[in-house]
Amino acid sequence: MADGAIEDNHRKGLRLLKKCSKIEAEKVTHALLDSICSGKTLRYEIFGKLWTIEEWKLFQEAGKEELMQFIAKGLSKEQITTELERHSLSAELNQAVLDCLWPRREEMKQSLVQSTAMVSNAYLKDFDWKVKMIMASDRLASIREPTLTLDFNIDEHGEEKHISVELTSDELKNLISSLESANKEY
Amino acid sequence: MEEVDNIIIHTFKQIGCDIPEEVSSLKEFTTALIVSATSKCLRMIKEDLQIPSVLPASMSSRFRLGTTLATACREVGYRGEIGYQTFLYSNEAEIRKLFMFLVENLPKESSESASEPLGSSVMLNRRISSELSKRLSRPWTPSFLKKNNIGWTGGRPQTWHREGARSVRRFCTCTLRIPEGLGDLTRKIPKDVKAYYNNSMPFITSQPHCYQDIAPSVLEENSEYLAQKRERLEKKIKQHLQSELQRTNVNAAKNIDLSDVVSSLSDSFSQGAAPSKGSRFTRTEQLQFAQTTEQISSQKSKNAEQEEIYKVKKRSVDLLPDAQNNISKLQSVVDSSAQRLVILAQQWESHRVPLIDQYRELKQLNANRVVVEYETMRKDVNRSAYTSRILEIVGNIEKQREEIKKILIDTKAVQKEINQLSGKLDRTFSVTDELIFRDARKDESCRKAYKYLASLHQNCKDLISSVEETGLILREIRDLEDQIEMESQKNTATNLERITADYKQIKDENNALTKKLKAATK
Repeated sequence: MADGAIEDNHRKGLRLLKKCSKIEAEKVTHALLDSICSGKTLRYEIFGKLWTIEEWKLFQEAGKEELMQFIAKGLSKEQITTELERHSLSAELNQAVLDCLWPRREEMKQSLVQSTAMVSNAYLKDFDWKVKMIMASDRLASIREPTLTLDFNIDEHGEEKHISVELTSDELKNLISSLESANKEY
Repeated sequence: MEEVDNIIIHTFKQIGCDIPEEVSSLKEFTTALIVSATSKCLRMIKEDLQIPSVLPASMSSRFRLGTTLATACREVGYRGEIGYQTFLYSNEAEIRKLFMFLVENLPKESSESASEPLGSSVMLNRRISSELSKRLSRPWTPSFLKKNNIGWTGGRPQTWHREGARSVRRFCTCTLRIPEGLGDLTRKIPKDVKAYYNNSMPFITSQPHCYQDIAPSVLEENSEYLAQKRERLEKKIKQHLQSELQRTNVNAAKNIDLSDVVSSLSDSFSQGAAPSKGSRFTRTEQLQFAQTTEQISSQKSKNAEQEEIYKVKKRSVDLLPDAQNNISKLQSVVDSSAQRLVILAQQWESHRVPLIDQYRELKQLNANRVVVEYETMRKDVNRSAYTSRILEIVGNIEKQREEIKKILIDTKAVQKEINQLSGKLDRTFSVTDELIFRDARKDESCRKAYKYLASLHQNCKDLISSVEETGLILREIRDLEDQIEMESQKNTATNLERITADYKQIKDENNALTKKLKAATK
């Protein structure tokens, strides 16, 4: 009956929304959506006056789950309203939550898609390149050689790793041609 | 000394002093030549000095010229003793020193780079060297003053420049949320979206995690290449859908629906939805659609050709009924176009001739430049001869230094021996002296022996002292000879004669001027 317990907690969590006024409900929903995007948890102090810490935790988990479900299933406005009504909240609050969710659903969807795409071990989040010119070294007084520095930001199981590679122009050509051929194959 | 003279004369010839061909060493430089060469050099070193290069006739102006030249040389930085006498009553060694100083300080010939083709690598090199020289001329600032990596310094004009690397960060971007669709007034923005934009959407500056990431995120958001990529993908998908429509030959009504779908798709793309990652299905379809698209394009071009041919044929057929008239009209048209051609050809000729002249001139200039460069290249061969001579001389000097060291060691050894021997001599003499003196009281022959010993000792001492004196005097003679040579080089006798002659001339001039003055005031 673990499922049932989870369901209960879920429902309890969402009912806690009753305690807020409309404006606060909007704030909370936006904060929840932000935390879904960025993966960070909300700070308790902002909403500390309304709930105790346990209630806060419960509400966070339940709220996030619900909102993610709404977005992932791609429900229309009416369907979302029916879902919300199941938790016996006032119509005003339902409307507030819906109003917050609806304009941001595209953005939420994108971030959920991105987080799903990051299923592999290491995922390339971003890369940056710089072109530098080596003027001289300790052996030669005048080397005018351009090099490329590639920095990769890799997300490996949640922690960020930075990898830097330095390439001369020939190596860069090789890299580009091999990537192009890989793209063609695919 | 001849090589130095050669170099100096050669440099003078290069900067434009006309030195006659026979002059091959500094000894043969006349005063006029010295003055003209010096003034030319000074003019090249400092542009604003106005010094006449011709030696005037009257003595006083000559004297004045000499002093101006001397002060100018001192201004430029010559440290030796210099005065009007260096120019008017010259002496070889001083002139050599002065000319070496001037030749060294001539501005380095900047290559005529204005006429060189400015390749991009040359430009890059120049920018690098100018930037480096700017940085070298800036004063050092401690690292905590370079916290933001930007400084506002430099001489006129002041510029921003980057220093240090303390605030360098990785390029981290974060997707920014911006209100969209606000520029299009015809589209209504729904109320909840408006409320979101007004109340809850945070400013761009607070969206990234770190304030230093704001600029990179904004740059990334506005970057062109993303927009181009989106457009390309969108076009591809549209094309494939359209060709699929044609291929399956759906009837008109359904066509309209699907084209609506296609256009709505492109709308949604322009709203910024992420283009769907192609599934394997569409990939295999792509290969088939490529063929059909090619067929379509070739068909279209054939159609265009056919249309052209049809148009021409139609017009000629239209003209047939009124044949005679049309033929004459066509004839006149042909004539007028022929005339126009002739006029155009004339105009072209008139343009062509000056352009060809210009072209020939430029070719000549180019050829000249190449010849001049070759000549300068040839002169540089002298430098390797000079450098080899210099290295030879340096080697000789090394050898001489070794020999001098050896001689010094020898001298020291000889000196030590002398000291030892004189010490021994004194000791032996005092011992024999005592010995004989003790016996001299009793024996008569002993007294004689003692007298002989004393006189022997005295004579030997005299001999030694005279040998030493001879040595001293020989050294003094050598020194004096050197001094005589040096003084004779200054040829003071001739200079003294010249000075007395000039002094008489100046006195005469002064008398004449005073007479004139008296006559004028009377």
